[in-house]
Amino acid sequence: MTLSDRLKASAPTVLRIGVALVFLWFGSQQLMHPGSWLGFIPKSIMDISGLTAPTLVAFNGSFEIVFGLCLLAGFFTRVSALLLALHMLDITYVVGYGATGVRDFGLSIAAVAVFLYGIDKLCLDRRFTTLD
Amino acid sequence: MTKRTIYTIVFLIVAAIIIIILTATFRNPSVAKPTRTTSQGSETLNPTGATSTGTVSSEKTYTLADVAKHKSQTDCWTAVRGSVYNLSPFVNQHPGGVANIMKICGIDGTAAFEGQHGGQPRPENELASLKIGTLVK
Repeated sequence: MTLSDRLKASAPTVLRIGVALVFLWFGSQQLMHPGSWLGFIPKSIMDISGLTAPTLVAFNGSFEIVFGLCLLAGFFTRVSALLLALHMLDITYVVGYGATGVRDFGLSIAAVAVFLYGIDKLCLDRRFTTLD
Repeated sequence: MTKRTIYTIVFLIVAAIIIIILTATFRNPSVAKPTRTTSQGSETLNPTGATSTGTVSSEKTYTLADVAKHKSQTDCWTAVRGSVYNLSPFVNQHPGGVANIMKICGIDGTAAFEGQHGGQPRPENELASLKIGTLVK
């Protein structure tokens, strides 16, 4: 195997772990320091859901941690990546066009890329590939 | 229904349960009413993110000269659309970086804020939660 082949083979794993770590960081920040994130919850979301801003921040953080951990471990990789991608695309839409929105869009597309590639060589899912 | 589909459904159900448990754990009252320390002391944030100090600090009036005195990273005020905001608790959390938000510390940042964030719900909500008074001439 040439160096180029090895680099190519490692790329999906690096992408998956990198995306997972980002979500884990943001998720943990929302659970540990919710006060800093309350202002980011749109009033429309609170009106539609009937939930308070602290609850929505806690839910958001929990969602990102649970599926971020699954993505990090490579457990139900495609499902986790798809849910995180959709989640991030929704946030991108809410944030709108700007520095933050463009960065969030990039993160969304990275999660989509993980979903499209699927299981890489270090995923836990490789142990369960004969489920069908 | 294949085994993979069944396992996926079970996974989603278990994940949903864990998320609900975590949400219930972290939305407890001590977390649900976080405080934010400002240069005027602590303020309690209500669930909408707006401040409710009880001392009517949001009705205080300030001039631009007052705002200009607060232009450091740890003590940053700005004026936007006739209101005065204490950005100090948020400076290090600004998604666009400390340098960008500090550009409006101590000045009327209306043009800069509206140019960058005008109409965006998240920045507008965050700004609203940091209001401390009204700008007067």
